[in-house]
Amino acid sequence: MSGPSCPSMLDRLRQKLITFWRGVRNATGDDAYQRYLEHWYAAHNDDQTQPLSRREFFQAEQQRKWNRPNRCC
Amino acid sequence: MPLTRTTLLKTLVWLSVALAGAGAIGAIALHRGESINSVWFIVAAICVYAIGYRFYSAFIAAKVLAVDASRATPAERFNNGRDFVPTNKWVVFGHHFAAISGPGPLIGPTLAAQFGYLPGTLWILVGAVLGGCVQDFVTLFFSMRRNGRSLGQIARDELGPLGGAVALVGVMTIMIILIAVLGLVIVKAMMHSPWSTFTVGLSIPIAILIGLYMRNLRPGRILESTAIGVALLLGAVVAGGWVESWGIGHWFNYDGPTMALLLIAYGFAAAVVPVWLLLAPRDYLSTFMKIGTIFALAIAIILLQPEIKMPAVTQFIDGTGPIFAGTLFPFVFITIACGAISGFHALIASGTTPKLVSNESEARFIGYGGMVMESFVGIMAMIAACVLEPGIFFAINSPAGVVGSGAEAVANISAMGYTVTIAEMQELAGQMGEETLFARTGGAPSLAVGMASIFSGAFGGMLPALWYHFAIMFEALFILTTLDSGTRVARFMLQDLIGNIWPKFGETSWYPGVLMASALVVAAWGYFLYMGTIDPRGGINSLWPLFGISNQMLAAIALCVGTTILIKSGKLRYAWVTGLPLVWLVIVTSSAAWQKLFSPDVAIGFLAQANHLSAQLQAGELSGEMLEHAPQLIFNNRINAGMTVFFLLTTWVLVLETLRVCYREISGRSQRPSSEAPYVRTQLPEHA
Repeated sequence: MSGPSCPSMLDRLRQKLITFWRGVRNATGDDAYQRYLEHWYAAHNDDQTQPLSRREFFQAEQQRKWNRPNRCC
Repeated sequence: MPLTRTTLLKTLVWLSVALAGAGAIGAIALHRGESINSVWFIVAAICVYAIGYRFYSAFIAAKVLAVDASRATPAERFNNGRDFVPTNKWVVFGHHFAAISGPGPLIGPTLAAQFGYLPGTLWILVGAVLGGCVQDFVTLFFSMRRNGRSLGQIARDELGPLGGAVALVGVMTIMIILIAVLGLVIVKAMMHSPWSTFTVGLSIPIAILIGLYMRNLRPGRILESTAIGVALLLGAVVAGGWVESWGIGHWFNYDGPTMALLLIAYGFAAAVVPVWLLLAPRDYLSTFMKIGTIFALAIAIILLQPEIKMPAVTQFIDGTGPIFAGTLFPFVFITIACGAISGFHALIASGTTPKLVSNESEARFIGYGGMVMESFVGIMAMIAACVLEPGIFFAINSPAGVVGSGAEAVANISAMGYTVTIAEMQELAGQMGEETLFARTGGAPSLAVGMASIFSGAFGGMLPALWYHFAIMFEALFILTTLDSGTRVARFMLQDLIGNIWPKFGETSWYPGVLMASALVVAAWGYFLYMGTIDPRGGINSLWPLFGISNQMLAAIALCVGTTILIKSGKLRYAWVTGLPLVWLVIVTSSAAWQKLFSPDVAIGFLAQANHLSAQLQAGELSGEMLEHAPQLIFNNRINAGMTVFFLLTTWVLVLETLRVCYREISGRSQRPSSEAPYVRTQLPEHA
């Protein structure tokens, strides 16, 4: 059986959309903080320190990003 | 045998790509009719890029650079979840493209259309696949092999302190000229245009609003903030059209010099406020707009398939063109830098990008492929410039100081063989919602007219005036981003430089130092910008070549570094890959610089112009504004000459230094070891 009502096709479409949305968030940096946290917990799991808060993270990132040429002609 | 069949099929496919490309290039090169369809340009470009990417970049990756997919990249080795992060190659491609493409590939081809569509188009295609793409790819790769170091650091490591210092000072000077010329482009687009000024002006509070939202209300929600910002910007484009009917048009109506002063004041303010308030949020908006508009333009061109009305070659290849002076060689290669080869890319390719690439094998797609994309933007700009009637194109882009204004301009341009009437120009200005389109130099207005005619033709529904001001807003948005970020980076470099003598000045947290350094940088580009607005030849005529020379000089620096590394790593027989574009650029920049310095033609030579003006001044031949501005213009021409000498010297010092280092290397007297980081095997699952 096929057609738009077929559940497997809908599932696949949903999966495609989710992948696309993840890509968009990844490309725009919308998920940068989540990625930072994932990395932080993987790398510092036995540490006593705390990761940066969302706000601190974005402030630090913006400072770093604009301290060197990153926009061209 | 299946293998042979696939090979045969592939060969046939590539053979047909080659034939289609050759056919399309032949068509645009040999065509001599009334008009030619833009589809030929698209086909020629895509085939040239496909062949360049499939064969030449593969050759460079495999033989010249010996890309090694098993080697861990800096992103993997230094992964800190922040700047060093192994990232999906499409995402890195997006970031890299957004960083390298700015107003350059839009403006350069528009100006170079003065020579006809053919010279610029060929240079964009050939320059990109053999020069620009190679430079970007090689620089990205060598930076990745050196822990993501910057071009300046690599130059110091590989060539020695002199090479490093020259590269650093060169970069700072280029930044100044780049900002000045881009500033001039938007000043020319916004002067006496209340609609544009209102829309672009409103983009500043919109950016600030988004900045506050992104910092205080919803930290780091980039997509949602950008969506709000883009909606507000589109609203600002529409609202600009009502400014006149609200009776506040005169609040937004300024002449060139006033607009320049406003921009200078803005530039200083933007440089000293924190990045989160203005620069960062505007960058999100401009990146989104840029990528969206470029895609929309590509779709519109493919849907509409507009006719190209510009001849293949105009008589102005002899150097008598009204938009900028100078013969086809070397000036077409200077006018189109971005889109063919742009040295500035080397800063990006040795900046953020090498820290994100997760595997060496992806450097080809990102470095070479990213530049292919930018080159295609250049081709689209060329199409947008050439869909205009040539008479209209020249009337918009020729400064009043060269062709006169109004009826005089129409008569002069028509006498050159490109018929245009006052009525046509008035009708067009009316359609675009502008007071006049005469002498709107700088390339942005004519590009906007071209884009407006393509967009309204392909998508319909909307008035050309809205598309026109949308295009102006889109150009201004990322010019302002380049202006802000360039000022900021030049400020850091200056603080760093002066910090060697006066350490306190070098502290980036010392606010008086920040203010002083910002003021110095803004004053430097502000000077060139202001002079550009009082120059009767329109300013672009002097500043754009200076920018082209400096940008190509930076490319020469990057290629010097690349060639040196190739020779040091025992690849002498492949050194031509970077060596040939280097030789070509040195020939082009040197001869252009020489002509800008010593040409006796007052339209070309800075010194000739200075001498001519001072002779006129002494003989009492000047009156009115010219009399008032003459001493400044004479001084400015000498400053421009000084800058040209500086660029020429910088290039040659670096070339000679490269030759010296390479000669020592070849003759076996090497002293400076390669700075390549040692091999570490990748642990990333897909490549390990």
